[in-house]
Amino acid sequence: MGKLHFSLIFSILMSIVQGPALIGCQKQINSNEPMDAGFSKIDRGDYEGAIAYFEDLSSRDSRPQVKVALASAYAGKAGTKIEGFWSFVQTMKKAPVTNESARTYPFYIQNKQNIANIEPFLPAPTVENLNTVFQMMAALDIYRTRLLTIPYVDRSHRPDLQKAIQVLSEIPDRGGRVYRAALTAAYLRAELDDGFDVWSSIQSRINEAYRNPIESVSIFCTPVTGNFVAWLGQKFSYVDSTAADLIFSFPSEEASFTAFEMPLSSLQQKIPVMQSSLVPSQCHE
Amino acid sequence: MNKNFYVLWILTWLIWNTTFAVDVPRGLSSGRSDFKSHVLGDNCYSMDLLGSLPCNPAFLARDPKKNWNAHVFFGNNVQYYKDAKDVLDNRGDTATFQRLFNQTRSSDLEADLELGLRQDHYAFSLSPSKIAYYTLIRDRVLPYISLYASQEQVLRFQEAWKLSNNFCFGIQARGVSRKLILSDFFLTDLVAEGGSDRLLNIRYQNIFYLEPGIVWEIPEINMKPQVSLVITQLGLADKKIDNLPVSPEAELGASIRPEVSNGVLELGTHLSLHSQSQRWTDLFSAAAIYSLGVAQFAISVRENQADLGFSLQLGKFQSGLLYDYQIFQNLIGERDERHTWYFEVGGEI
Repeated sequence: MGKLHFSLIFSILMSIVQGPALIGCQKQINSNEPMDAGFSKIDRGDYEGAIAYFEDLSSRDSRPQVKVALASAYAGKAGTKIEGFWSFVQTMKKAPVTNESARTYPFYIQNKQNIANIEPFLPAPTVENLNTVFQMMAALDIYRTRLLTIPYVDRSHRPDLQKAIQVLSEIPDRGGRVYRAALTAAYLRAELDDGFDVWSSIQSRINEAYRNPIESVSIFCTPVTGNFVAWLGQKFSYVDSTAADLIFSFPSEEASFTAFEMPLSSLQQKIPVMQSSLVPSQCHE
Repeated sequence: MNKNFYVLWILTWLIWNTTFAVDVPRGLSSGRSDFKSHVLGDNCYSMDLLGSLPCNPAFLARDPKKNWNAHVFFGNNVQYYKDAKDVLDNRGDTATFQRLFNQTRSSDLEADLELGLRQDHYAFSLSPSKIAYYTLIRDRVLPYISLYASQEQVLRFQEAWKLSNNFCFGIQARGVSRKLILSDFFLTDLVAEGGSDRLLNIRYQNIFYLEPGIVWEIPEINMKPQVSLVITQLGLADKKIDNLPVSPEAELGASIRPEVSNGVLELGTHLSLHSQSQRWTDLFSAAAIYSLGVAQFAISVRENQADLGFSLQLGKFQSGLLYDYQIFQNLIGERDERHTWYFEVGGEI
């Protein structure tokens, strides 16, 4: 019996001595999620450290979640936290704009009526292009109204946001694509805000053209308008990729997102032609 | 060295090595939700308080009594539960998110209702609904959530025998039927089509445990020392679930009852052999119980945690109030602390 007690005590003591070594292994198992170390950096605000960590991890760990974590580190660096626009994310499963809604938008109708008054003074392609621009701006304005709930990201932080969007491109994970669509929306919201500033100067030119139809050609056909159309095309490509992300994330809503995407794509395809037709030399012919 | 030595050494070594780290806290997935087991912690296996079935079944033979009892136990973190549920149900607003995602530590909630019957050397109890909820949220930019939510029905049967004047043996058979959600995901995974069905998928697990315990006491000595050993979590599950292993743990404790002029005082210390501890010092704890008339005070301490409880038995009614204090390193590596209150109300006939 005495020996038995000794054995029991000794074996317990052995276990205690072994404890730290075994717990050392256990700690690794406990942090069995290697992303945790990177999350900890994000939570401390060390976004550069988190980006480096997840870049390295993604070279060894092919799970899509690692890419999502890397994107979140870039987004954090850009100051874009999901809590700031979660209510927007929750509404993403429904298409935001349809071709029909853009064509019935007051902004579009008003401009279309006004352009009709000066139509005789403009070359036919220009009129058509302007109508397309109005329709695109109407679509963007409707979309922008929805995007306004997203916090504005200033210009200096947008490259990081673009990096986050880029990291998630083609990621085979529905949640990751929802995140990409949300980040794209945050990027677009900021870009559209800036773009609409330029648009207001163009709109005032258009208003001036309505007042002076004879001068309308020279008023419209400026490099500013051409550059704006190029900008418009670029932004539409983001809308396009958002639609693709959302189709991937919500396959049962494919029809409604396609209905949203297709007209925009067809508008977008007109951009190169519009851009060349709105340069001053072409306008005057 | 004799054969017994090798057998015991292998057994203790196995206890260390067959257990794996789990993300779900040990207390939530394998423990009991009542005043007694919370205030005493692991010391509950080596010391006994008023209330329902003992943690160590061998105590039944030492203190035979007959009663029906029932209790309800719950914690104070109801706001947390509501916030977590709102987010998972896709209903959270910005305020919810700020409350929930700016936390730098895990959160949990538990509640239990238990009905029990003690008849001298045997006892039954039934928990028709024991609820546990746990979340760990990392990444404040895009929350990555580890979620454990379970609802259990637990049926226990204990029987004990007094083998000699100072040696009692008891065994507990415990059946647990558990439905649970155990998942890790980014918040946007939940929004994507099919996300909530896939990630919040309810799983079912049934486990049968056999948990033997012994108490060895020497009443002839003034301080009435006693030593106890219980093997817990010795069970078989119908389904293996990662992060919820069914593996044995050993609870070894000793206590004394020094004489005091009024009431009864019991002081105990405990060694718990399980795998979830981060450092070997986590394995040790100590506790004290002081009973005076209808009141009982209890305190337990272990590294970085202390519990203080007060319970009152008024006629057939019993109530308990428990304060739990923990110090830990939070998710961003800072020293953090947590204060939780638990309440229990019950009665016995």
